[in-house]
Amino acid sequence: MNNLTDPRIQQQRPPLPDPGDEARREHSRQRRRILEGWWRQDLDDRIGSFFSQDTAARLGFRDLSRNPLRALVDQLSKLYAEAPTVEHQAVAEGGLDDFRQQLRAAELWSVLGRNQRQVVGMREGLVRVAWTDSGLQFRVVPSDMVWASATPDRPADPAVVVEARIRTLERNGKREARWTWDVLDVRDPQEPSYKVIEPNGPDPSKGTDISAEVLGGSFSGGEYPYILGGTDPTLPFVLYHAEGGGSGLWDAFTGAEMVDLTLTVAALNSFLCYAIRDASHPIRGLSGGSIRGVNVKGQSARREVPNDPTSMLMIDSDTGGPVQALQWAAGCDPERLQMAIQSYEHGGLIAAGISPADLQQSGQASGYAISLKREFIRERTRAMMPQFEDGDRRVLALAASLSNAMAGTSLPEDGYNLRYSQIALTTEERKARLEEAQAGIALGTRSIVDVILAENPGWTREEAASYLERVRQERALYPAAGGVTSE
Amino acid sequence: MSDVPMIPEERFKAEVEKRKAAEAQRKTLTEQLAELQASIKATTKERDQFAAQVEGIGDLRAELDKARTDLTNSNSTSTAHISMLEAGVTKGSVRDFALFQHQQHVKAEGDKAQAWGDWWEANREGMIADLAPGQATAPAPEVAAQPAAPAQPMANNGAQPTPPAPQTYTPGQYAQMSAADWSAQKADILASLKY
Repeated sequence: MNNLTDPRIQQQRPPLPDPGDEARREHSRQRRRILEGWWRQDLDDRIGSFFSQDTAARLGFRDLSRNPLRALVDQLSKLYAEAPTVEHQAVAEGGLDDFRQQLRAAELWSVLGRNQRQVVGMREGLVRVAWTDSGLQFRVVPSDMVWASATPDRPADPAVVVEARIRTLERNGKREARWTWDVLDVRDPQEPSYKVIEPNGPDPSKGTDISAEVLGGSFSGGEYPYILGGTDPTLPFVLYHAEGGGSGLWDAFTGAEMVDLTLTVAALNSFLCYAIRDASHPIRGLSGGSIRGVNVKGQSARREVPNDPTSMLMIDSDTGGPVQALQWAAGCDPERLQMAIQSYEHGGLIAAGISPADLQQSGQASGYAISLKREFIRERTRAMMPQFEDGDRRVLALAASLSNAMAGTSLPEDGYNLRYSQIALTTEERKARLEEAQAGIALGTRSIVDVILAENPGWTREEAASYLERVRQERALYPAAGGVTSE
Repeated sequence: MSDVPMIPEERFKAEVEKRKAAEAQRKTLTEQLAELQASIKATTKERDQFAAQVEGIGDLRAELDKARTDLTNSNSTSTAHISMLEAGVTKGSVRDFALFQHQQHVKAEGDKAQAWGDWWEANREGMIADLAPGQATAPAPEVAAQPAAPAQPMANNGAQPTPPAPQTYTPGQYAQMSAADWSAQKADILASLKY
């Protein structure tokens, strides 16, 4: 939706080219709202569609405390919990210390951690690399703020990116917040362009070019600032995918079931709260009589009588006949209702590819909290790692290229290696691995190098052999107590 | 008999004479004092003039001493320059340097320092060898001009942080929509209402 006149520009849908892409953007926006905690209205909509209008109105309180999508995303986004090690084959140890320091100063690993949450939760995410007065800058760009296009040769990598950004611009002597587009296009390597446009409808050609006003000059053609390796114009955006091997830029709807599950579970939990509040106790009444000393309180004319263990209720018959006391059972059993909701939630998780065996089982609480097993997290992380490694290499190449151009460094502009920290093994997992390794060695199907490689997935055989050699030498130098030898 | 004491006349006359003589002596002495003071003043003036003349003579003497020292130095410097010219040291700056070296030697050694002639004889060969122009040193390589850092765009100029993802509907969205927007997006809006 474009050119809305709502003055609260922050609440407006960002205008972007290509209305055909709006469904993807809208779905990604919804995912981002759930991840960032702005989904109260989404829950209202779900309750409105799930319950009748009267019931929805009676619920009142909305329970946003259960967020399965966010819980899963947080648990699966641990790749940058510890800063990965950056290495390069052509650079001696210590040669990258300054670069690593630059990356740390720019908080790259925090930015990539946040980006991973968006990629896991929204299926795609972008990282923008720039050079500012204070050096390198990395910024997470949510996929719903972007329109992009690729070339047929590289369908999963954008060649054009339009990012919607709110900028404060001076118009008629006043400073106003306006939507702008950062438009970067490298489809023609001879004529790359970087423009900032004030949009007027979805067609970029109808917008006003305000590059000089915002960027401080022209940065298209020969002045294009992002040249990799001195010759190759590139976009300063890196698009991360949750899954590799795709044939398109976006895969936003895969796993939409988790979004659906989150909204429905929250709607059901809101209903559970309503049931606990209004229908979890028996209803009592008198037929043909009235209690003496009843007070009428409040606007709802609630009738109540003071009572304690020593008091006796005095009941008068209204008709002279017998008085009958009645009690109806509670309207619902909250515990059973809660179990039903949990069952629904677990069913949804199974449908989303998470089996009960992947969840931690630890007493009563496990029924409520979604807690994934480390093994499952490790497996998913391993599956995601190639995509993230590929993206991180591009980010490092861009950062090195900017540092070379602006700070006069001579860093390699490709070929970086990253080593990510592993999620620690549980005692059981360690024991099982040890037994497996021993069995393999006993059978002659495994060497000790294989065991080291299994422990350190990022290592090469040479590195594993070198490590073993060092261990052998150190054991010879410092024989351990208790009769352990270097053999 | 009267109680007023009486002085004998002879005694009184004698006292008066004594007083008169004393007055005359005081007058004479005062005149002599005035003459003496005038004389002192004149003498002081003469003394000051003389002292000034003596001071002038002292200055002249100091100037004379300085001139003599300069002459001696100049003579020794000239002698040194001549001896160095004879030894083939033609460059003035080199000769000045040798003299400076000798002065440093004098400063360091004090009374035991050698006179110029002896010092020059002892050090001449070494100094000439040291000061001889060596092989032409290679010119310092020209520092390659650092290419100017390319201009970078002000990518974040005026930019505000990424806002939270907006809701599907925002209050006032439809009420304030322009007719053109409404026409353009009517189908989408109506479709979104069919849940």
